[in-house]
Amino acid sequence: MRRWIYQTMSDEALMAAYCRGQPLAFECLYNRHKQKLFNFLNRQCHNRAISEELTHDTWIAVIQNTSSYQAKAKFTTWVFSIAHNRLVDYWRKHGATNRPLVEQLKEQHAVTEDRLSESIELEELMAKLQMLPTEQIETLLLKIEGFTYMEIASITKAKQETVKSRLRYANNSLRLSMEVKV
Amino acid sequence: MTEQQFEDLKLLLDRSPTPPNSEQLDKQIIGAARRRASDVKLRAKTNNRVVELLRQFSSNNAVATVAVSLTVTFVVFSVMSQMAFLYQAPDQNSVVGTKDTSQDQRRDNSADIAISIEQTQQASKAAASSDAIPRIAQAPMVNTSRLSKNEILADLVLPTAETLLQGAEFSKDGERALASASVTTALTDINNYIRQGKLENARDRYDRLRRSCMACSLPSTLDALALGSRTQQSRI
Repeated sequence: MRRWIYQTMSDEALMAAYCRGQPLAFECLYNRHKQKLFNFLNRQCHNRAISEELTHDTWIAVIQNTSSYQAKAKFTTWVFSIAHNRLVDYWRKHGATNRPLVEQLKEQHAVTEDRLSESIELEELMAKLQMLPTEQIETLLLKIEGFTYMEIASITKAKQETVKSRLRYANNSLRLSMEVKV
Repeated sequence: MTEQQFEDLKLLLDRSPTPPNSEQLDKQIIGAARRRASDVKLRAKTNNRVVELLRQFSSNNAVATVAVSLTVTFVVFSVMSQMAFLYQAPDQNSVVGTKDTSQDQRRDNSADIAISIEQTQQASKAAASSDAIPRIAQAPMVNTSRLSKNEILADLVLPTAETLLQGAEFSKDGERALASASVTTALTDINNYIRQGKLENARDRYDRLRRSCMACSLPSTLDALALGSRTQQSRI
């Protein structure tokens, strides 16, 4: 099958094709999601090398556990849940940090400041982001990636209500910081 | 945090200058995925072959018949070998038998008969008791085997004519008298030859006597006569 046909297929169909022994299907899946997954991990780890290591572990786990993947579940939910588990293991050993996320935001803000709306006061946002618990940061990042509450709950193995409350706390903290500034 | 602020944050993160993960990492992951895929294909091929074989096997009646007959034959042979083992088991377990006992069993072909240990013991005892008489009777023969024929003849004490002709039957009374005379003469000659050490002459003389008097029922050779005489003496 040609590569462009794979690119039109859904994640779940690609995964099913890979389970049948089509390596191109996996390549397509990998290219589709590798950057998102890497960013998700890189924003929550101390350095790039660790992020790459966790990314490697996550994808290898995907390859080795193809038989346990059920087509009913969304592929990205499954992959991010594996990444979440690797991340939690890492946090337990080395401690959690929000610094990489804040630094990335600062760097990007310096480049694209003029394109952003005036509603966001980034400096204050950065300061507040650093104060947020890692669970809230992770939930926020997953929400920004486009996952629903249910999917985030599935990824982080938390209740849907817990996910909602984490996001609410994060929003309130960030809003408060901006309101004070205003 | 308003919706607009959230969108701004998302935009910032999307445009984050985070470089993509390294090519080395990509190669490692893609390589692992390809290896896994080839394994899956290989497994699938093997499974398909097995399934195809089974399908052919089940669809082909002749093959199925042969397979069933082979299976039945195998089962029958297994049962038979098991029975044969049980059949021979008592013989193998009769550890009480001595060397002589086992020899007796072989002579009697009793190894082919399923017998108990007790029966084996009884049979060996009976065989031992029945062998007792011949062994005593044949004792001199065992000793004579160590002696040469000439030594036996040298020590020979020949029986008298009357003793030799005791078992002979003659149709007429005159014949017995003639036979007795010729036997006496011949025994005298033989004794002389033996005394002189001319043992071959003694044997020839005996052969002539035997040929001349067929009715005398003499032993086939002088040596046989000597052995018989020796046995009689030992019994006495």
